[in-house]
Amino acid sequence: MASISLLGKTFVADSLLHKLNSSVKLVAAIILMVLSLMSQHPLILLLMSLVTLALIKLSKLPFSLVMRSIKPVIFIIIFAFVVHVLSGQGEAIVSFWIINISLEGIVTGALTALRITLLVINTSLFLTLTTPPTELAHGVESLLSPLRHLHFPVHEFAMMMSIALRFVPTLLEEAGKLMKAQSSRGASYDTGNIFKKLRGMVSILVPLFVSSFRRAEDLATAMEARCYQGEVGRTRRKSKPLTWREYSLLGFLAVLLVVVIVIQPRLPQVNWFSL
Amino acid sequence: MDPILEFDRVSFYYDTDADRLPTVNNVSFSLPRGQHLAILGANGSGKSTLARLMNALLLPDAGTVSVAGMDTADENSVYEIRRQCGMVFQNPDNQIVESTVALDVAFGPSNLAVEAEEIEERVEEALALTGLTALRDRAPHELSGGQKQKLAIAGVLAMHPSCIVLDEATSMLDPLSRAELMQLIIKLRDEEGLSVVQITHYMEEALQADYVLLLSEGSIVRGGSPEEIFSRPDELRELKLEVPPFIEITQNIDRIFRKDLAAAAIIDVDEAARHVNQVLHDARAKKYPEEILQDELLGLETLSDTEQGRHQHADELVIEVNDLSFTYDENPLQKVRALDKLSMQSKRGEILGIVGASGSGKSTFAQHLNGLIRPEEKGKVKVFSLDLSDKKNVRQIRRMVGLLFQYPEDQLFEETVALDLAFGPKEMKFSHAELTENVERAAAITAVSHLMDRSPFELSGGEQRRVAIAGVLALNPEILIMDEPSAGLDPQGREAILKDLDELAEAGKTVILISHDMESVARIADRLMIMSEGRMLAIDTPEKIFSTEKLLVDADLNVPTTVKYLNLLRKNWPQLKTNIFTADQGLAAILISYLQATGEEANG
Repeated sequence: MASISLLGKTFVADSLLHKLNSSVKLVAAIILMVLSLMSQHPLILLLMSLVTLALIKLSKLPFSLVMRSIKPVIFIIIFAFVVHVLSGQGEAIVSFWIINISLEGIVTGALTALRITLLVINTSLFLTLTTPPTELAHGVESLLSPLRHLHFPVHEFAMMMSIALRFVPTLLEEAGKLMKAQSSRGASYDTGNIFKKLRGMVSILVPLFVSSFRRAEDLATAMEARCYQGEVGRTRRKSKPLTWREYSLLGFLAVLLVVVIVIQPRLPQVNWFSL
Repeated sequence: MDPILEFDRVSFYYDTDADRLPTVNNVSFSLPRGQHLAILGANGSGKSTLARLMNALLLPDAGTVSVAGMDTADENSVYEIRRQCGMVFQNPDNQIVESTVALDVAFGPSNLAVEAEEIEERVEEALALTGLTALRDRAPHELSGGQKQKLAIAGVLAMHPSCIVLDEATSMLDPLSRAELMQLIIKLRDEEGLSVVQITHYMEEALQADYVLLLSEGSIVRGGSPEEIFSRPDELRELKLEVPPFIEITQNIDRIFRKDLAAAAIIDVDEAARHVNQVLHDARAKKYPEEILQDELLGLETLSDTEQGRHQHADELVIEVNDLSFTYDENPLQKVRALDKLSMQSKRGEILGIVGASGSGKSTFAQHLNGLIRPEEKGKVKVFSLDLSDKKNVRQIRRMVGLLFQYPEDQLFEETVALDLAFGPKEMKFSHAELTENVERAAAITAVSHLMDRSPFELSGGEQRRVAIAGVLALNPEILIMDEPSAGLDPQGREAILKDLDELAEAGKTVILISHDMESVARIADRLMIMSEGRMLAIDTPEKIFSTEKLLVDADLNVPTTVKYLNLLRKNWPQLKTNIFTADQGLAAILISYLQATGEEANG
C-alpha cells in the first residue's frame, strides 16, 4: 500500500509553486510533459533535469518526498531501460546466447528512463503534490469552460473529479485496513499463483465497492442537505489572479519549448563510441 | 413567534405495502425557537427517517412538516428550508465534499449564491465558532473524527441556519470528542440561539436537552423533560434503551429509604451524589431498620455475584511483550512515535482491556500481536512462546491470534454468511471436517446459526458485527483481539456482543479488547491496561484503576459517570467499591458500605 500512499495527497507548504493559479499549473504540467518526452539530446536532458531540480527546490518539499512519487511507476522505468539495453542495437560489448548488450543500448536506456522520471516528477510536482484536488478541479473547470457552449456539463465534470480525488486517500486507507483485516483471517496477498491472488483481491474489492456505494449515497444526501443543486445559481469560485509569477513561468516554459524544438535538432550529435 | 419546527400527524412509508407498518407513524410535536430537543430510540425505530423529514430530504406521505412556518412539501421553499434547518450526519467521512476545511465550509453558502466576499467572512466566522481556524488548509483525511464532525457543523453554520439537526452525529466518535462536540452544541444553543434537534442513543447526551421524545416503531411513545423521562427506567428498557446507572441507583435509594417514588429523576451527577449522601446520613441518624436493607440485598446479591464473577485464569503466559517500540515514518514530514518501550504480559483465559485515547498507540500495539506489524528495534513479542521476530512463526501465530478491527462488519464480502465464515478456515487449509466443525461452533457462540444462508449485507448492524466475530472465531484462535467491540451499536446490540466475549473467556480463551471508551470494556475485563502516547501508564484490576481518577484524566480518558458518582460518595463512605457498572451492583455496593459503616459505629 505504501507505494501508492502519495496518490491524491497534497502537502501544504508556503512556496511559489503552491501559490500558482491552478489553470496555469495544469497548462505548465502539460507543457513540461511534452518537453520531457521531446528531450532527446543529452545536453537538453541535462537542462531539463536542472529545471526539474530547481522546481523541486521551489516547491519547498523535501527531496525524498518528491522522489517517492516515482515509486508507482518504477516498474515501467526499469522495463523501459531493460528493453533498450536488450534491443541489440549497436556494437555488442557483452553477448551471450541471443542477447547482445551494447554501450549504445545502455545509454539510450538510461536516457529513456531519465525522461520518464522527469515526466512523472514534473506532473506530480505540479498537480498532486502542491495542488489540492479542489483547486485542480477548479483549474480543469476554467480550462474547459469554453466547452460550455457545446453544452458539455463542465461544472458537473469538475465536481465529479474533485470528489473522486478527495476520496482517494480515504479509500486507500480503507483498502489498507481491509487487507490487514483479511490477512488476520488467513488470507495472503503476496504468495500463491495469480488465481489465488485474484481471489484474494475479491475479499478486498467487494467490501470496498459496497462501502463506496454507501459513501456515494451518504455524500449525495449530505450535498442535497447543503442545498447543492448543480451549477445553477452557484457562486463561482474566484480564480487566483494571474500575477508576474504565472507570466514568468509561462514565459520560461515558452523559451524552453523554443530551445527543445528549434535548437535541439541543430546540436551536434554526441558520438558515444569515441569516448 | 412560529415554532422553528412543527410535525403535524406525520406518517411516512418506505414500503407502500399495506401490511407493513409505516416507518414514521402519526408523529406530532413542535419545537419552539432556541430549544433543544433530543429524540431517543433503538436502531430501527425510525429516528433517521424522522430527521430526513425535517429538511425536505424526505416528504411525508401524510400530515405536514413545517420549518419556520414553511411547508416542506412546498417545492419553492425547499432550499430556504434546508438553509434554515442544517443537518449533521453520522459518518464523519461521508459528508465532506471539498478537499480542504475552508473550502468545505464554503460549499453550502456557494450553493446559496452568496457573494464571494461574504462567503469568506462566513467561513472565518464559522471556523472561529467551531475552533477550526488553525486547521483551515487541512485535507479531510488529515482530520480526526471529532474534527470532521466539527467541520460538518461549521459547514452548516456558514449557511446561517436557525436550527441544526444532529442525526447520531456523535456515534462514531471517541468519548472525549463526543463530549467536546456536545460542549460546542450547547455553546451554539446558548450563545447563538440555535435550535437543536439531537437524535441519539447516548442517554447522557439526552440529559442535556430541554425536552426528550421517545421513539419506538415509528411512533412517539412519550415526551417530557429529561427528569420525567429518566424517572421510568423500566419503560426505557422495554424500548431497548437504558438509564444511566447513577440515576437508577439514586431512585432506588429514595425508594428504599424514603418510600417515595419521585416523578422527576435527578439527572446531575453531583446533585445525585449529594442527595444520596443526605438520605443515608438521615437514615443513620434515625437508625433505619437494617433488616429491610438485608432483604433488599438478598434480592440483589445473586445478580451481582454472577455479573461480577471474573474469569478464572491459569498461570500460563500467552503473550509476552518486552521493550516494544515503533515509529511510523511513511510521511517524512511527520514521523510518529506510536509505541515507546512497552512491556506487558497476558495470561490464558483473562479478558484484558486496553484503553487509551485516540492516537495512544493501542491499535499499533494490537497489530504487533498477530504479526501484521513485526517488532522493530530491540522489541520482542512472544505469543505462546513463539517469537514474532522470526518471520517463519507469523503464519502459525495468525492462526492462534484472531484480530478484529473497528467496524469489522465492513470486511464481510461473501454471498452468504456460511461462506464468509468459511473464508478464513479455507485460506488456512483446514480439512473439510475441521472446517465444518469450526464454522458451526463459531456460529453457535455468536448466535448467528440461524442466519447462515442469508447474505451478510442484508443483516442488521448488530448481526453483521456478530457474523464478523464468528468469521475470526472460525479459525478457532486461542486469543481474540477486538478493536472497539461495541462502537456504533445500540445498547441491546452492545450487550449481546459483550456477552459473547464474556463466554469466550469463560471457555478458556484469552480476550483482548481495545477501546477509547472506558465503560464499554471495563465491565467485563479482568485487568485494564491504560495507554497514553505510546506508553503504558498502568495495568491493573478495574477496581484499582478506577480508584484514581487522576490516572484516567492524565491519559485523556473519560471517567464513567457511574464511577464519578461512586467516587463522590466514597468520600463519606470509604468502604464503597467503585468498579461497578450496573445499577443493581451499585445499589448493592452502597447498601453494603452503609451497613458496614453503621455496623462499625455500633461496635465502636
